[in-house]
Amino acid sequence: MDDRTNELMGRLLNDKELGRQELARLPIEEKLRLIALMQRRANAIRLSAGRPTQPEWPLEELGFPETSEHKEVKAQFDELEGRLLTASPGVAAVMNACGAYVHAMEQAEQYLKSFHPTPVFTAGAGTAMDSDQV
Amino acid sequence: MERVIRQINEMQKDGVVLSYAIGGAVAATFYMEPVETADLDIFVALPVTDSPIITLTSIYEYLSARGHRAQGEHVIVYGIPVQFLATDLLTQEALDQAVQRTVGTESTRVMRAEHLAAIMLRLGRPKDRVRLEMLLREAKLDMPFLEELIHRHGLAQRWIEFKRLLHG
Repeated sequence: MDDRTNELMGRLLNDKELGRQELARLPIEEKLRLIALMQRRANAIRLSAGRPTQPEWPLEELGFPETSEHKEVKAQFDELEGRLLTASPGVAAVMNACGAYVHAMEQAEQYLKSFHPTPVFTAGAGTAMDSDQV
Repeated sequence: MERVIRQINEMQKDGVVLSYAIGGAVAATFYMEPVETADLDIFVALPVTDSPIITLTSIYEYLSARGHRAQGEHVIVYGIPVQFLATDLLTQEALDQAVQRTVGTESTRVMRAEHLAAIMLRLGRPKDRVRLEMLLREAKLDMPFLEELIHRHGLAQRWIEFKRLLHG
Protein backbone atom coordinates (compact mmCIF):
# COMPACT_ATOMS: atom_id res chain seq x y z
CA MET A 1 0.00 0.00 0.00
CA ASP A 2 1.17 3.55 -0.71
CA ASP A 3 1.36 6.31 1.91
CA ARG A 4 -1.99 7.83 0.94
CA THR A 5 -3.81 4.49 1.28
CA ASN A 6 -2.04 3.85 4.57
CA GLU A 7 -3.09 7.23 5.88
CA LEU A 8 -6.70 6.67 4.81
CA MET A 9 -6.77 3.22 6.39
CA GLY A 10 -5.29 4.60 9.59
CA ARG A 11 -7.93 7.32 9.79
CA LEU A 12 -10.69 4.83 9.03
CA LEU A 13 -9.56 2.45 11.78
CA ASN A 14 -9.11 5.33 14.20
CA ASP A 15 -12.65 6.60 13.51
CA LYS A 16 -14.01 3.10 13.99
CA GLU A 17 -12.21 2.82 17.32
CA LEU A 18 -13.60 6.19 18.44
CA GLY A 19 -17.09 5.02 17.47
CA ARG A 20 -16.67 1.89 19.59
CA GLN A 21 -15.55 3.98 22.55
CA GLU A 22 -18.60 6.24 22.15
CA LEU A 23 -20.85 3.18 22.09
CA ALA A 24 -19.19 1.81 25.21
CA ARG A 25 -19.95 5.08 27.03
CA LEU A 26 -23.70 5.02 26.27
CA PRO A 27 -26.11 4.46 29.18
CA ILE A 28 -27.02 0.80 29.63
CA GLU A 29 -30.64 1.45 28.63
CA GLU A 30 -29.52 2.72 25.23
CA LYS A 31 -27.18 -0.23 24.80
CA LEU A 32 -30.01 -2.67 25.52
CA ARG A 33 -32.09 -0.98 22.83
CA LEU A 34 -29.18 -1.36 20.43
CA ILE A 35 -29.01 -5.09 21.22
CA ALA A 36 -32.71 -5.38 20.34
CA LEU A 37 -32.09 -3.53 17.06
CA MET A 38 -29.11 -5.80 16.29
CA GLN A 39 -31.36 -8.82 16.84
CA ARG A 40 -33.75 -7.44 14.21
CA ARG A 41 -30.95 -6.79 11.76
CA ALA A 42 -29.47 -10.26 12.31
CA ASN A 43 -32.91 -11.80 11.73
CA ALA A 44 -33.33 -9.86 8.49
CA ILE A 45 -30.01 -11.35 7.33
CA ARG A 46 -31.05 -14.84 8.47
CA LEU A 47 -34.33 -14.49 6.55
CA SER A 48 -32.58 -13.33 3.40
CA ALA A 49 -30.40 -16.43 3.61
CA GLY A 50 -33.45 -18.66 4.12
CA ARG A 51 -32.51 -19.51 7.69
CA PRO A 52 -34.86 -19.59 10.70
CA THR A 53 -35.02 -16.44 12.82
CA GLN A 54 -34.18 -16.05 16.51
CA PRO A 55 -36.44 -14.46 19.12
CA GLU A 56 -36.32 -10.69 19.30
CA TRP A 57 -36.64 -8.66 22.49
CA PRO A 58 -39.77 -6.50 22.42
CA LEU A 59 -38.65 -2.90 21.99
CA GLU A 60 -41.51 -1.62 24.15
CA GLU A 61 -39.92 -3.48 27.07
CA LEU A 62 -36.78 -1.44 26.54
CA GLY A 63 -38.59 1.93 26.22
CA PHE A 64 -36.95 5.12 27.37
CA PRO A 65 -36.74 4.88 31.12
CA GLU A 66 -35.65 7.92 33.04
CA THR A 67 -32.02 7.30 33.86
CA SER A 68 -29.88 9.77 35.76
CA GLU A 69 -28.36 10.79 32.40
CA HIS A 70 -31.79 11.42 30.88
CA LYS A 71 -32.84 13.46 33.92
CA GLU A 72 -29.70 15.56 33.71
CA VAL A 73 -30.19 16.32 30.02
CA LYS A 74 -33.89 17.08 30.56
CA ALA A 75 -33.05 19.43 33.45
CA GLN A 76 -30.53 21.27 31.26
CA PHE A 77 -33.09 21.52 28.45
CA ASP A 78 -35.81 22.81 30.81
CA GLU A 79 -33.45 25.41 32.20
CA LEU A 80 -32.43 26.57 28.73
CA GLU A 81 -36.05 26.69 27.59
CA GLY A 82 -37.00 28.75 30.64
CA ARG A 83 -34.17 31.20 30.02
CA LEU A 84 -35.13 31.56 26.36
CA LEU A 85 -38.78 32.22 27.17
CA THR A 86 -38.04 34.86 29.79
CA ALA A 87 -35.33 36.51 27.72
CA SER A 88 -37.49 37.34 24.74
CA PRO A 89 -41.24 37.45 24.19
CA GLY A 90 -40.52 36.92 20.50
CA VAL A 91 -38.97 33.50 21.21
CA ALA A 92 -42.06 32.54 23.21
CA ALA A 93 -44.27 33.49 20.28
CA VAL A 94 -42.13 31.43 17.87
CA MET A 95 -42.21 28.43 20.21
CA ASN A 96 -46.00 28.70 20.53
CA ALA A 97 -46.29 28.82 16.76
CA CYS A 98 -44.06 25.72 16.47
CA GLY A 99 -46.25 23.91 19.00
CA ALA A 100 -49.38 24.80 17.02
CA TYR A 101 -47.70 23.61 13.80
CA VAL A 102 -46.75 20.24 15.35
CA HIS A 103 -50.32 19.84 16.65
CA ALA A 104 -51.73 20.57 13.18
CA MET A 105 -49.35 18.04 11.61
CA GLU A 106 -50.43 15.38 14.10
CA GLN A 107 -54.07 16.05 13.28
CA ALA A 108 -53.31 15.83 9.55
CA GLU A 109 -51.53 12.49 10.12
CA GLN A 110 -54.53 11.13 12.01
CA TYR A 111 -56.80 12.26 9.19
CA LEU A 112 -54.62 10.50 6.57
CA LYS A 113 -54.47 7.35 8.68
CA SER A 114 -58.27 7.19 8.70
CA PHE A 115 -58.06 6.35 4.95
CA HIS A 116 -55.47 3.56 5.51
CA PRO A 117 -56.24 1.94 8.85
CA THR A 118 -54.10 -1.12 8.04
CA PRO A 119 -50.37 -0.43 7.86
CA VAL A 120 -48.65 -1.72 4.76
CA PHE A 121 -45.53 -2.63 6.67
CA THR A 122 -45.98 -4.44 9.95
CA ALA A 123 -43.47 -3.08 12.43
CA GLY A 124 -42.52 -5.07 15.49
CA ALA A 125 -41.93 -8.42 13.88
CA GLY A 126 -39.07 -6.70 12.07
CA THR A 127 -38.81 -9.59 9.73
CA ALA A 128 -40.56 -9.36 6.42
CA MET A 129 -43.52 -7.79 4.76
CA ASP A 130 -46.65 -9.83 4.84
CA SER A 131 -47.41 -10.67 1.23
CA ASP A 132 -51.18 -10.25 1.84
CA GLN A 133 -50.65 -6.65 2.83
CA VAL A 134 -48.43 -5.56 -0.02
CA MET B 1 -35.94 -4.80 30.83
CA GLU B 2 -36.83 -2.94 34.03
CA ARG B 3 -39.89 -5.13 34.51
CA VAL B 4 -37.78 -8.25 33.97
CA ILE B 5 -35.29 -7.15 36.63
CA ARG B 6 -38.12 -6.13 38.97
CA GLN B 7 -39.61 -9.61 38.59
CA ILE B 8 -36.26 -11.23 39.43
CA ASN B 9 -35.79 -8.89 42.41
CA GLU B 10 -39.25 -9.91 43.67
CA MET B 11 -38.29 -13.54 43.28
CA GLN B 12 -35.25 -12.94 45.46
CA LYS B 13 -37.35 -11.04 48.02
CA ASP B 14 -39.74 -14.02 48.14
CA GLY B 15 -36.81 -16.31 48.98
CA VAL B 16 -36.81 -18.41 45.81
CA VAL B 17 -33.15 -17.48 45.26
CA LEU B 18 -30.70 -16.27 47.89
CA SER B 19 -28.91 -13.92 45.52
CA TYR B 20 -28.36 -13.44 41.82
CA ALA B 21 -26.12 -11.60 39.37
CA ILE B 22 -26.40 -10.79 35.70
CA GLY B 23 -23.67 -12.51 33.67
CA GLY B 24 -22.99 -13.20 30.00
CA ALA B 25 -23.23 -10.74 27.14
CA VAL B 26 -25.72 -8.42 28.87
CA ALA B 27 -23.35 -8.06 31.85
CA ALA B 28 -20.45 -7.42 29.47
CA THR B 29 -22.53 -4.70 27.79
CA PHE B 30 -22.40 -2.71 31.05
CA TYR B 31 -18.63 -2.33 30.47
CA MET B 32 -18.24 -2.19 26.68
CA GLU B 33 -20.07 -1.61 23.41
CA PRO B 34 -23.27 -3.66 23.02
CA VAL B 35 -22.91 -7.14 21.52
CA GLU B 36 -25.65 -9.21 19.95
CA THR B 37 -27.19 -11.77 22.26
CA ALA B 38 -30.46 -13.64 22.43
CA ASP B 39 -30.93 -13.97 26.17
CA LEU B 40 -30.29 -12.60 29.63
CA ASP B 41 -28.09 -14.87 31.77
CA ILE B 42 -28.89 -14.86 35.47
CA PHE B 43 -26.59 -16.75 37.81
CA VAL B 44 -28.36 -17.74 41.00
CA ALA B 45 -27.48 -18.96 44.47
CA LEU B 46 -30.26 -21.22 45.70
CA PRO B 47 -31.38 -21.82 49.30
CA VAL B 48 -29.68 -24.85 50.87
CA THR B 49 -31.79 -28.02 50.86
CA ASP B 50 -31.28 -31.62 52.04
CA SER B 51 -31.00 -32.86 48.46
CA PRO B 52 -27.53 -33.12 46.93
CA ILE B 53 -29.03 -32.39 43.51
CA ILE B 54 -29.36 -28.74 42.46
CA THR B 55 -32.50 -28.01 40.47
CA LEU B 56 -33.97 -24.79 39.20
CA THR B 57 -37.53 -26.13 39.43
CA SER B 58 -38.51 -23.64 42.14
CA ILE B 59 -37.60 -20.75 39.82
CA TYR B 60 -39.59 -22.17 36.91
CA GLU B 61 -42.61 -22.82 39.16
CA TYR B 62 -42.45 -19.34 40.68
CA LEU B 63 -42.28 -17.61 37.32
CA SER B 64 -44.80 -19.92 35.69
CA ALA B 65 -47.31 -19.04 38.44
CA ARG B 66 -46.85 -15.40 37.42
CA GLY B 67 -47.60 -16.06 33.75
CA HIS B 68 -44.07 -16.45 32.37
CA ARG B 69 -43.69 -19.57 30.27
CA ALA B 70 -40.66 -21.82 30.01
CA GLN B 71 -39.25 -22.40 26.52
CA GLY B 72 -36.34 -24.79 26.25
CA GLU B 73 -33.65 -23.65 28.66
CA HIS B 74 -35.23 -20.19 28.99
CA VAL B 75 -38.10 -18.60 30.80
CA ILE B 76 -39.70 -15.88 28.69
CA VAL B 77 -40.16 -12.96 31.08
CA TYR B 78 -42.08 -10.11 29.46
CA GLY B 79 -40.88 -11.28 26.05
CA ILE B 80 -37.20 -11.55 26.99
CA PRO B 81 -35.65 -15.05 27.19
CA VAL B 82 -33.98 -15.41 30.58
CA GLN B 83 -31.64 -18.29 31.33
CA PHE B 84 -31.09 -19.15 34.98
CA LEU B 85 -27.80 -20.83 35.77
CA ALA B 86 -26.51 -22.52 38.89
CA THR B 87 -22.99 -21.56 39.90
CA ASP B 88 -19.64 -23.35 40.10
CA LEU B 89 -16.53 -22.06 41.89
CA LEU B 90 -15.70 -19.27 39.46
CA THR B 91 -19.25 -18.08 38.84
CA GLN B 92 -20.09 -18.27 42.57
CA GLU B 93 -17.15 -15.98 43.28
CA ALA B 94 -18.37 -13.69 40.49
CA LEU B 95 -21.85 -13.70 42.02
CA ASP B 96 -20.52 -12.96 45.52
CA GLN B 97 -18.45 -10.02 44.29
CA ALA B 98 -21.00 -8.66 41.79
CA VAL B 99 -21.53 -4.90 41.80
CA GLN B 100 -24.71 -2.90 42.22
CA ARG B 101 -26.01 -1.25 39.03
CA THR B 102 -29.24 0.41 37.95
CA VAL B 103 -31.32 -0.23 34.85
CA GLY B 104 -33.87 2.57 34.57
CA THR B 105 -35.10 2.84 38.13
CA GLU B 106 -34.50 -0.80 39.06
CA SER B 107 -31.45 -1.84 41.04
CA THR B 108 -29.64 -5.03 40.08
CA ARG B 109 -26.33 -6.85 40.53
CA VAL B 110 -23.87 -7.34 37.67
CA MET B 111 -20.72 -9.46 37.60
CA ARG B 112 -17.44 -7.57 37.64
CA ALA B 113 -15.72 -7.15 34.28
CA GLU B 114 -12.69 -9.17 35.49
CA HIS B 115 -14.90 -12.15 36.37
CA LEU B 116 -16.64 -11.88 33.01
CA ALA B 117 -13.25 -11.90 31.30
CA ALA B 118 -12.21 -15.04 33.22
CA ILE B 119 -15.50 -16.77 32.36
CA MET B 120 -15.07 -15.88 28.66
CA LEU B 121 -11.54 -17.24 28.76
CA ARG B 122 -12.75 -20.48 30.29
CA LEU B 123 -15.63 -20.94 27.81
CA GLY B 124 -13.28 -20.20 24.90
CA ARG B 125 -15.87 -20.30 22.10
CA PRO B 126 -15.13 -18.04 19.10
CA LYS B 127 -17.72 -15.49 20.28
CA ASP B 128 -16.18 -15.51 23.77
CA ARG B 129 -12.74 -14.78 22.35
CA VAL B 130 -14.13 -11.85 20.33
CA ARG B 131 -15.97 -10.49 23.39
CA LEU B 132 -12.89 -10.93 25.58
CA GLU B 133 -10.80 -8.95 23.12
CA MET B 134 -13.43 -6.16 23.16
CA LEU B 135 -13.65 -6.20 26.94
CA LEU B 136 -9.87 -5.93 27.30
CA ARG B 137 -9.82 -2.98 24.91
CA GLU B 138 -12.87 -1.05 26.11
CA ALA B 139 -13.36 -1.77 29.81
CA LYS B 140 -11.16 -0.41 32.56
CA LEU B 141 -10.01 -3.74 33.94
CA ASP B 142 -8.06 -4.26 37.12
CA MET B 143 -5.34 -6.32 35.41
CA PRO B 144 -3.51 -7.55 38.56
CA PHE B 145 -6.86 -8.80 39.89
CA LEU B 146 -7.69 -10.48 36.55
CA GLU B 147 -4.25 -12.16 36.41
CA GLU B 148 -4.69 -13.43 39.98
CA LEU B 149 -8.18 -14.71 39.15
CA ILE B 150 -6.88 -16.50 36.05
CA HIS B 151 -4.13 -18.26 38.00
CA ARG B 152 -6.36 -19.18 40.94
CA HIS B 153 -8.93 -20.81 38.65
CA GLY B 154 -6.38 -22.73 36.57
CA LEU B 155 -6.77 -20.67 33.40
CA ALA B 156 -3.13 -19.59 33.01
CA GLN B 157 -2.44 -21.74 29.95
CA ARG B 158 -5.57 -20.52 28.19
CA TRP B 159 -4.56 -16.94 28.98
CA ILE B 160 -1.13 -17.44 27.41
CA GLU B 161 -2.71 -18.96 24.30
CA PHE B 162 -5.26 -16.17 24.06
CA LYS B 163 -2.57 -13.48 24.33
CA ARG B 164 -0.50 -15.26 21.68
CA LEU B 165 -3.50 -15.26 19.31
CA LEU B 166 -4.24 -11.62 20.10
CA HIS B 167 -0.76 -10.27 19.59
CA GLY B 168 0.27 -12.70 16.86
